[in-house]
Amino acid sequence: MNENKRKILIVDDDPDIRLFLEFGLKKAGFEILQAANGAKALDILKKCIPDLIVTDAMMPVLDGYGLIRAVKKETAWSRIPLIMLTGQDSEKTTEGTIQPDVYMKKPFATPAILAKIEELLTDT
Amino acid sequence: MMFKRLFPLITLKRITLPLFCLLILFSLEYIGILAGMNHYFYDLSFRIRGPEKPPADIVIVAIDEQTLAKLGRWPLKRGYYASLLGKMAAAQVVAFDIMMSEPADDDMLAREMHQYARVVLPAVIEEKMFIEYPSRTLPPVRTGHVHIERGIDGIVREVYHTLYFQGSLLPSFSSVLYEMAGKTLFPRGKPIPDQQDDAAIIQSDLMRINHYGGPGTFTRISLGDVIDGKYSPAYFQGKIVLVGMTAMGLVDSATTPYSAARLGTPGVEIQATILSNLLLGDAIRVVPFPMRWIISLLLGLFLYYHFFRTTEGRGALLLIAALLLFSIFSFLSFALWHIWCAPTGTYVTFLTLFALAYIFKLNDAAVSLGITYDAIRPHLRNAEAQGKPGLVKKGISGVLTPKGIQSQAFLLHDLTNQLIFEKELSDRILLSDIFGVAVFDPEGSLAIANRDVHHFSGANGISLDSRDRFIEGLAPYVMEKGDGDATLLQWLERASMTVCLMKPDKRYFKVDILHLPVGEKEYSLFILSDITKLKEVEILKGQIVSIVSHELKAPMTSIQGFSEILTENLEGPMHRFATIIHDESLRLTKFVNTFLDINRIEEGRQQINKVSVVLSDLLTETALILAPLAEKKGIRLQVERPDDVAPVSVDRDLTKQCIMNLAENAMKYSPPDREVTLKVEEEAEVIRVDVADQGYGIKAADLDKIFDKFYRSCSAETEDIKGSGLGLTFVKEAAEAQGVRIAVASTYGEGSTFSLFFPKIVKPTRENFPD
Repeated sequence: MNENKRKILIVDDDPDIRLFLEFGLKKAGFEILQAANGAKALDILKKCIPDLIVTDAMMPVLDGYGLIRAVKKETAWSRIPLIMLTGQDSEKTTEGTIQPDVYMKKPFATPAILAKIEELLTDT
Repeated sequence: MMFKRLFPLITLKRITLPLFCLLILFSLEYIGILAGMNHYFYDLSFRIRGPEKPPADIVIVAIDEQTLAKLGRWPLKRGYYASLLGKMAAAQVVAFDIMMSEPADDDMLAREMHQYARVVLPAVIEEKMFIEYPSRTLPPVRTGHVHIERGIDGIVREVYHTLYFQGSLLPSFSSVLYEMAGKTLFPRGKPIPDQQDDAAIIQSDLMRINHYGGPGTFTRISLGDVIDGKYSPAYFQGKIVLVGMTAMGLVDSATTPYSAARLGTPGVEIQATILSNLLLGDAIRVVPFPMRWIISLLLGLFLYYHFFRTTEGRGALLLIAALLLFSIFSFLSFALWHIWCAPTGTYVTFLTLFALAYIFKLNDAAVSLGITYDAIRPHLRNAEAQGKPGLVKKGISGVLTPKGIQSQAFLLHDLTNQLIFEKELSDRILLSDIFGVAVFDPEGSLAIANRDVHHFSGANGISLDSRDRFIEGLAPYVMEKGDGDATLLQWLERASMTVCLMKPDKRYFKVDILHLPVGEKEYSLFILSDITKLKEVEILKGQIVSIVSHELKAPMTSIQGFSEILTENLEGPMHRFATIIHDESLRLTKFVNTFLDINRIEEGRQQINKVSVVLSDLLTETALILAPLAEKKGIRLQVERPDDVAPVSVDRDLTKQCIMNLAENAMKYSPPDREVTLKVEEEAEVIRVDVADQGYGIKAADLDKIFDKFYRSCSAETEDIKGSGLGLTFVKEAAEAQGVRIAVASTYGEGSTFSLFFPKIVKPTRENFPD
């Protein structure tokens, strides 16, 4: 049963947000992996490939954009869908050409992010 | 009117004054003031023309020094004359220019004269007023007077062929000779009857003598030689012989144009000249005084008109050319056709008219100088200079009199000083480096730029060579880039823009472009104001807002997320409290988002993606979204839309948010069971969207404040309604950012109508979209 559960990697430096997302997504039937920044997320990725990544934009050590660049560069990970959570007023559309699949503006409600996740997973 | 159109430079004064001057000139010549000059030119013409060959059939038999040495002292015995006549029997006529009034040894001569009969003798009017005729001991032969007219300068130029004296006609010696030699009558003027005064000599038949040369021009042979028989009788065949004195001391000599500076010409030679003139018909004819004046007047006025039309230098050249041409013409007519046109009057006419035209022009210049001073004075900033009365006499006296010129110089000095002062003041202000200034002339070249502009342009590689290159250089640094790459023309049309120059350090400038009309030309003025401090504060504010909003959003995510979880898992009052936390967190999120939206629009960072939007569809969509809220509040949300409303070009999301905000507001400020109507309507120039409610309405005093940030009107009905005071601010900012006008009409207690006016899309026509 465990093997069939879809894995979602949550990357955020705010443990409260990781907790809230874990609660909502677990309840929806996903298996959750967590990392406090981009660098830690890459460590996890090397061991286990998730079905989808939800990442914050601004984080210490390696931020969301750095993480996306690293993920998209690596052939094994490049097909993983990415959702970026952003608290910024405007999206950093000019920074590099590599973009997440979906931007999610903070704050957001659980049904909204679930809908986006379902959408991305169905596409793949 | 016609004249004025043809000759715009000629005014009445400019016609009457020269005519008056010419009238004075005319009078002066008439009384003979110019005669001296005319005589000078007349004599000069003879000398330039040079001597002419006299006819060979006129021979002068001269009583010269040689004759006197041979035949004894003067007077010669008349027997010699008799002998002379005998030797010259073949001659046509023999004329003695020798007075023979006293009786002497006349017998032989009388005999010879009787035999010869073709002799002419002289007669003179004596000082005692009687005519002295030849002696009665001589046979009656034809006589003529030998008076020749000397000018006031003593030079012989004229002869009167007919004299009337004491009732008798006295023909000239030469005219009698002419009648005898030419066997034709001399055409005399009509005799004047009723001569009253015995002492008066009436002269007529004036002739100008055409001198052939100086003394000795005619063939001259010595009387002694003829007596000695050195000339055969055949030599005199058909000749006209004039016998007269040429010996120094005895000679009755006169000065001619040719002999002015040399010896006088003997009277007999002058008589020979006059006779030759009559025989050849080559006497000098004189152009009559009135005709000469008419010619002068016509030529003079023609020149006068042209003096006005041309510059002074060319006028002077024209004058010289006219004088030369007239002189040449006058000389040629004299030399070729023996017609004398006295030139002095014409010369003086030309000179006078040139001087008059010059003075008129000088007057014009003086007047315009006065006008210039008057025009400058009001522009002076110095009140003292403005009030100063015009010291300068206007018109000609201001430039022709020493006093006038001096006062002009003083005033000019004053004005120059004042202008220099004002220029320095302006330059100091312009170049003060309080702000950057660059001025380009109408051709686009740099006219003036202060140190700041040179400094920043140089550092950032912006060319100041020309206006267009300056704009091209600035363009990459311009911060406002909303409408893509603007053309050069669009840059010029912009009243102002902000540039961020990176060198030598990062600085922000507001660039104002002004088009300055100076005279009839337009200069471009660029003013660069350093707004670095202002811009830094603005950027800092943006950064603070950005950081705060981010820092706010992370906890908001947690509060909203966990309160949502709590509402799902709690019951009873706890559930209600969790719901309140959740609702308030949603409201706070919305507040922060709206605040950030307004901030973004205000800073010009909001991207406006204009697309074609059908407003009636947008209203239906909005109504659909708001339907649950309307139902919850018991509001009837209506949409009134015609089927065929033209699309407009706006940002879809922003517009939808505007309509949504207005509709939410309308429901929020309406009691239950009322209607909120969303209506779209096409008007002549705009498409109008109304959001109308039957709610509490807005007090008139609040109407112009409701769009202010954080402003909330308060009344008993609305005090419990929660709001941020940002909703309408957002609507106004978002609407106006995309060219949509907003208006509100409200009656307190009855309801409000908010209207949005969307500009219609200009329909493409053949003119602006050619294939």
